[in-house]
Amino acid sequence: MKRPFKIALWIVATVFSLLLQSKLTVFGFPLNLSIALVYIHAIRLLTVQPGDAGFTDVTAETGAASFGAIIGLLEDMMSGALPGINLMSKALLGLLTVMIFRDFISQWTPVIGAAVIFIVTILDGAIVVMTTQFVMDVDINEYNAMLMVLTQAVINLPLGCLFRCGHKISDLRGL
Amino acid sequence: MSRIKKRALIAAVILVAALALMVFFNRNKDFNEGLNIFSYPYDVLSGALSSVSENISELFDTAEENRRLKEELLAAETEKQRCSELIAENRRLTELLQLKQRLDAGGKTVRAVGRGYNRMANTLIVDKGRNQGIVKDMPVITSKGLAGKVLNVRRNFSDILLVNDLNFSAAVRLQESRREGIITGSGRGNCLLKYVPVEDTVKPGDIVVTSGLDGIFQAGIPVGRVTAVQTEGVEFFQYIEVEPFQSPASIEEAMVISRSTTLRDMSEPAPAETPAGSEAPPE
Repeated sequence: MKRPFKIALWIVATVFSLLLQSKLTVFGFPLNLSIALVYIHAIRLLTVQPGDAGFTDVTAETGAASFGAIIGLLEDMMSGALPGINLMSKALLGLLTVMIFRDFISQWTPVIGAAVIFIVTILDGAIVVMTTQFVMDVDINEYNAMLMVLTQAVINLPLGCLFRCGHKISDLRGL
Repeated sequence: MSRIKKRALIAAVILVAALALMVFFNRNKDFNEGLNIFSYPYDVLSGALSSVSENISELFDTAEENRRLKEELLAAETEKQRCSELIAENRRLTELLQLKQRLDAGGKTVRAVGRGYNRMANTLIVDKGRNQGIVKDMPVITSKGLAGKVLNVRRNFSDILLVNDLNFSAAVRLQESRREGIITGSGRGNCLLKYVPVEDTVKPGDIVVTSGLDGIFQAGIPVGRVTAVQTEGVEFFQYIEVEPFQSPASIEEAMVISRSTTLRDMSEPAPAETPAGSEAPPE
């Protein structure tokens, strides 16, 4: 797939995800598709062949973090939240996703994919909630926030199963 | 630089950039409004999406509303039919009540519960019998006129022989000319007026009433109106067809009266009624 087409595809996916998550609710909770997008982008970066041009030992980390930062910033601006909260969360979790797959998982399986996206979504929710509370001095109902984050994580589970790493993770080790 | 250090550097950059942004925008809230320009395309898209989803939602709502309205229409039509039926029944009962008020000794109101079991005879089963004082050969009338007579009496039901039955007969006279005759059923919907000599003048439209000479029906009960008269091709008596005021096919309630009951103002048939499905005496 050619690079401009790939970029266009990611832009469309990003806009679509942000629109969808602002419109759809499940049990009254909004979706968190942006973190799923960050996760998917991170694992797609890991499928890049080692011999590809520009692939260095931290290319995937940088790419995932950058993409996460962009998505997070867009989300911040579009949602009217304080700019930086989602940027920090998504960027860090893009980085974390790459680190998890590179350093702790030798072989991608649907269960592992689901588990990782579940954890990443939970962490994203936790970071956003805590940062919002801390920085903006806003009172948040912790129980509701927990329910919301859990619901979002469960909804993202199938995406973790569907989007796979194209290559053995062990092949990427040592890069 | 080792990979761990590089990762730590990336994380630190993210943290610093994010914190700087948060602190900056938290302190300078006016800048937040400036960011709205970036969210404008998103807002436009979001508005379009909302519009589409609302339209789709309205479409489903319309379908649902359509289904609900159809159900309501069906229910309303059923209710309307029921009301029409009640109105017609009310009119019949009112007429029957008026008829009862015209009878000095009163009568027994009966309600048709079925057609007679004998397919060869035009009979009607009514809901009163011997226990309610019904006796064989009692006249049966409605507000429009003669309906028949009691044929059989059981404990709580009776059979009414209707005027159009071949076995029915009653002594009648023409209201205007006062000529006498015998009316019988034709076996179809109408009746035949028999034994009127050829030399008597009878014309269509003449009203036929009971004469009271048969010892069963008292005089003056409207029976029907002459519809056809044939004097040619007959020997001694004219062939006269009479359309009964009370159509035998549409009797739902009637009054069974005794021979001794005196009728007041029965010489003229009751005024024509308007509801569909009910028979009215022709003008």
